Amino acid sequence: MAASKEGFGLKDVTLDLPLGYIMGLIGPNGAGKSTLIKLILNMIRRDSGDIQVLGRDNIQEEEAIKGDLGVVFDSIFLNGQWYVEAAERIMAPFYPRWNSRRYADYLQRFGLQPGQKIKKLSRGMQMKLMLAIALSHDARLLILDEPTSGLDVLSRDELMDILVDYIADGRHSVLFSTHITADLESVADFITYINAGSVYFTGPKDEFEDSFMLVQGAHGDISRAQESMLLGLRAYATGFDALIRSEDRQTFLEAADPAHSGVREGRYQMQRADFDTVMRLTVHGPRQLGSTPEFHSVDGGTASSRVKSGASLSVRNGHEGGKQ
Amino acid sequence: MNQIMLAAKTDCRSWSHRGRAWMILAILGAFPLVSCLLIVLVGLGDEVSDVLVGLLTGSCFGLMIGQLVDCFFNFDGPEGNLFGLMPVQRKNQILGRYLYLHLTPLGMGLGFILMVFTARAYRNRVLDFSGAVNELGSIVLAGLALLALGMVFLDLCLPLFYRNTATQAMLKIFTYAVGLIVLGLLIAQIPLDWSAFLSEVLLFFSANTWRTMLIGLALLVVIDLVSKYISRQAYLAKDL
Repeated sequence: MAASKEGFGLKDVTLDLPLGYIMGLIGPNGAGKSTLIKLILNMIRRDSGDIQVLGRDNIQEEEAIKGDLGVVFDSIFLNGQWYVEAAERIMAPFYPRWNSRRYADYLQRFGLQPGQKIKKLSRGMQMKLMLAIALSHDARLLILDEPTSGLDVLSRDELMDILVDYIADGRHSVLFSTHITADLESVADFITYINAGSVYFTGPKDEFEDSFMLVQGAHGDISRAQESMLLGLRAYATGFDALIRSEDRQTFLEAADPAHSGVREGRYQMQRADFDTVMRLTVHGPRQLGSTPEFHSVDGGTASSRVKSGASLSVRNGHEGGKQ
Repeated sequence: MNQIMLAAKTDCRSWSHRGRAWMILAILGAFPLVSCLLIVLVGLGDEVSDVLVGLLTGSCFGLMIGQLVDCFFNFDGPEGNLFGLMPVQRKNQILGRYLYLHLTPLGMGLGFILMVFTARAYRNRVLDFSGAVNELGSIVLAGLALLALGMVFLDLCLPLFYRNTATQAMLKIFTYAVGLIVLGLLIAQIPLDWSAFLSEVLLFFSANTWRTMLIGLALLVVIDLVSKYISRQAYLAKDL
């Protein structure tokens, strides 16, 4: 893990997100999701590397890039003393493509009154206000940083519906950071899993879901040969949960220690690992995936997945010492 | 330039809870205009006019402190994210903020000139326009000195606010102010004829108005540039 006394290190990261898709950025708290988003926005200093957003350098062309971004943070970025009507007066001049009519429509749709004070709004309503701002200037890339934490299930469903509508025209993309992985199961097309400042996986969601298997077995029933295949392991007094690559399933079974248990059939329970399982088993001392040509390569903390060429978000950077 | 103006307007709008940029200008303009009306209509004497001028100066310095705190109080919290997502580079955000904050000393200087000129012209409800015009040069000089004083105050404070949190910055300003007073008291203990020394200094500055203005302007420009440079370095290194 690239952590130091000064703080946190984010190693080489590359993500490609084609237009018209939603990418879920997942990872445990402190993994580097917010750091990555803040690096994209040039809100925290990077020590090395470069960041390309929508094909442009995020510092050299900061103003143009930010004009194309819509951002929703986990906390409201507007002064709590302001009224809702002030939000448009303050934000609209930044964006040449600001659409007042669309903003008014969103306010109406979300039940936001112009005369309401922002600090009096609930967390869900504050998130909707940020969303209304982000959606009202035709942002090509919408970045959401943990927008659903603290929201009830109805608000989360509503947000997902809005995101699906937003990308439907194929001109917009969404980068959606969350640690509530259930949100992504229905809407995400791509998944980037960040762990300890490195990209562990980036690629289509279906591939992510097909790539990992959860293996459950009796306590200590793992041979040395099997251990080398484990991406993560959690042992209990009564058994263990382990994570392997799906393609290693057969090899894993064949490598079982015959002395430990005579019965091979039913010795292990195997099932497709969901997002939470992958995070749970890889968060402590992750074993990164080996470099395999047909798989999304992760080598020495560098990940790359090029699913489709075209307008995309690409991030390459090195960052240390930023805050989490 | 557009980006700097945009940043300055954002700060102006932020001052109003309803996002109206003209509010700060209305606040700045209201006091001198109302005072001038009072002077003209009610016929205030010199003493009352002087009190009003004092009030203007005091309230403008109070407003400057209020604006500083308002600009930076939530700068390090979630509300600081606004400055990260706004499509204005940080260096332009700084210049915009200097521009916005310097509006207050400008308003103070202009308000001072307007009020004192009106007070001289309508002294005790007797119109003496030519007399006021004769005094205009010294009134403008005093107004410019007030403007410069406000600018220097802000130029000294702003880097502290960019380097520290608002609370830390205020504490430092307070500490420096106390330190200056203590330093002044210590210097006063030096066995020197201070009244003669100060007379010499005043004589030097009053002997040639243009020379004094040029020295003041040069000092002001240097202080302003150094202040902007330090603020810029601090803000560029700051994590939002």
